[in-house]
Amino acid sequence: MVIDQRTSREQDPLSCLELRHGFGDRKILEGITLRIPRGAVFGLIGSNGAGKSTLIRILLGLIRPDGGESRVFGCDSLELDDSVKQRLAYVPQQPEAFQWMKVGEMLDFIGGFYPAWDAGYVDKMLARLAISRGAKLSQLSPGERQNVALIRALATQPALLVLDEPAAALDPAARRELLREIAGRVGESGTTVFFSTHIVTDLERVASHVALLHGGRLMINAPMDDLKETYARLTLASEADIPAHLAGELSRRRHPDGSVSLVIERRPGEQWPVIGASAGSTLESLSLEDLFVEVIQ
Amino acid sequence: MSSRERVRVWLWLREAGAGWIAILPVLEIVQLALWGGLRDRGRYVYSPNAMLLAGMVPMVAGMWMTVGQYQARLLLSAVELRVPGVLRMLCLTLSGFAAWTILELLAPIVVLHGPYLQWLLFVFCAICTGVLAALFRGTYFDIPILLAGGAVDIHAAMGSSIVSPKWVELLTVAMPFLIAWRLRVLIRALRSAAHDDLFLRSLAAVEGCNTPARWSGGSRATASSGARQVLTAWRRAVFGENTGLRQGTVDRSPTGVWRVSLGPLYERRVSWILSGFAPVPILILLGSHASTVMFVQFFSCFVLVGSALACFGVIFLVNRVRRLADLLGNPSGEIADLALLPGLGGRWLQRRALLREALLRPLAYYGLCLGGMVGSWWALLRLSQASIETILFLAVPPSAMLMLFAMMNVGVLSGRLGRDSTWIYDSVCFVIFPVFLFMDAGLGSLNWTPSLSGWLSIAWVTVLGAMTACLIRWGIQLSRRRNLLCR
Repeated sequence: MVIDQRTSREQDPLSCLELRHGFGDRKILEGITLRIPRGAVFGLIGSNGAGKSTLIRILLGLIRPDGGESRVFGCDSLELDDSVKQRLAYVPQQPEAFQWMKVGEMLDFIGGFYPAWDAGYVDKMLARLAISRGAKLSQLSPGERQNVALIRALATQPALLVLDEPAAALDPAARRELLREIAGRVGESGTTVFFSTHIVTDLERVASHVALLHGGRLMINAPMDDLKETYARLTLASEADIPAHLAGELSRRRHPDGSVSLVIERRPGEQWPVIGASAGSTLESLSLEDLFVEVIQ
Repeated sequence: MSSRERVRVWLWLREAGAGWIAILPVLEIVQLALWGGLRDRGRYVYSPNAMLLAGMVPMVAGMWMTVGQYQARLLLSAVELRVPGVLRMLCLTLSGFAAWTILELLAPIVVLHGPYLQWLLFVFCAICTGVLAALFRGTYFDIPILLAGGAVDIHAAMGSSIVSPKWVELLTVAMPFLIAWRLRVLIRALRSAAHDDLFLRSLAAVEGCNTPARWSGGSRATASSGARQVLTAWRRAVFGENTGLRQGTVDRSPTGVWRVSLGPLYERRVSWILSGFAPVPILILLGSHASTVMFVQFFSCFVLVGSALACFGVIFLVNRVRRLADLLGNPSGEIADLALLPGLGGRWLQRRALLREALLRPLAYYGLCLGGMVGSWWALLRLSQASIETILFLAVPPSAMLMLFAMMNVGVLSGRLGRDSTWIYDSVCFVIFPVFLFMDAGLGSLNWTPSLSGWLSIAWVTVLGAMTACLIRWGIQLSRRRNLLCR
């Protein structure tokens, strides 16, 4: 079983096991275990400061975790070799690299390191977004800079694309263009995409898997299609009807009128808790946004 | 005036650079004490007045260059934020500062019945030099303007046969016109689309940033494209300065990539050369002067030597260290790219490349530069028959700077120091102040402190010892870090 798990993890583009990390006394990640299957569009969602960027950096070997391990295409993240790096592209939240270069200089410089660099794609996208090759990166707006970083990442024709809040600085049209591009890449070349975001509608539009990071733990981790069958909101008239901790309970919220709502996780093949069928209680499926709000609050 | 208004005025004065103007009397007192306490006054053919004047002029120009930068930053910020009435306020402040500078410098001369008209002329010229250097900051002309202005003033003050006070009178008339012309050019640029670039450049100049943008030539303003081309061609021919980016011949080895990312080993080689070898053309100019040896004697103990080496050098080296800290510490910066870029080898290869480019190569380069400067000064001091102690003291600032650079670099590489670590700033003070005291004490110009050099030696050894201890401690931590690209 252990061997199976390991073999499976080694085949996954991105995986981690029991990751723990903190800054000083503050625990950021506590026992994160994650597998991103090949060809998946994996959306990571979480509130500000939840540790999404830290998790991404640990997964890519940019930060050494306090505990646990992470792998990229089966290779230890802290010891990535060139064959793995060639198949990997990462766009940070606010790209600030090589700002003293011009757009064309930076793209040519970076492109020289990737055998599969698609120069035609770069020219096409720069023309479409009306970004001059002669413009200095430091003089571009944050949105333009993010677009250049995305062009750079996609031009490497990666097998794994990691995006940290890629749409944060983009306008709605550019966001839609990005999502279309991601969907196209996944469909055409089977690129695996791992991205973090605040914007739930983006996730709903393209993600095949979703994970919610809160309080240093992955509260939700499921394929998008299974979300409605796996998570539900149970609302009860009074807290007295339920035990202190219900099996599969993710969060509990007390309302001013005395009622209580809980988010319940149901394992495959299991039934919803019996208490959900008692008088005065309601059990309803949740949209991703509702689920996010319920768990975070 | 209500307390709120007082706070606003205080803030305005601070942002306009009033502190720099307020330092001038302190420096004047130090200079007075220095020249008044000369042990062997007979060695010098110049009057204390002339020496005081020559000592103050570069400081006034330097202070006013900084103040001018503050004012430019205020003006540009105000334009960006559309704050009304700032130009009038700035004019008032500038006039006030100029009047205050002249008053505080003239007061002791008038009291001592000195040549106050001559002082007035020279101080005004120094102020204009500073303002001009500020207005040309970020171009190739700022340091040459400062040096030329200072040299002309000093020559005139010392009664040189080449530069007579009449030249200074002419310059004093011409300079306001030059300032007005430059202001007009800047205001036009401000109103056009170029204002963002100007704003950023001004801020960068004020903060003394050493980003690679400042050496690519792209962001540096020049008077004309023709002059820029000539200067660029000259720099390439003389120094081989070339990133290779434009020619598409980038070195993609690990060391090459780190070299590109860290930027060059110099911010302005031309400025360095000018700062280090400025005395040579001055001496040639003075070739016909009867008191050349005396002048060299005077110049050898001049505080500019210390300030050129210590201030320019340390500020530059600190900026270089901060650049490295930026590179390694900013998770959204180049570090992610460099860590994930294929073809750069494993962590050991990257580590070796980084250590070579960030530590060894700069140390060798700066060692050579500083050695060249010390050598040229040594030649001057030999010419002036200075004592061997003087020459030994001259080697102190460069060695301190190299030690400071090594210590801070290792601190950053080991992860103990960040870009804004207070250590970096405090260390600079540790080095600069003893350097100044050493320059004075080492040259034996103070007769009221016969044992000062002894005490300073002890202090200096302590500072060097502390730096060495830090270097060793952080070096051990650095050797334990397996992957320098991973935080």
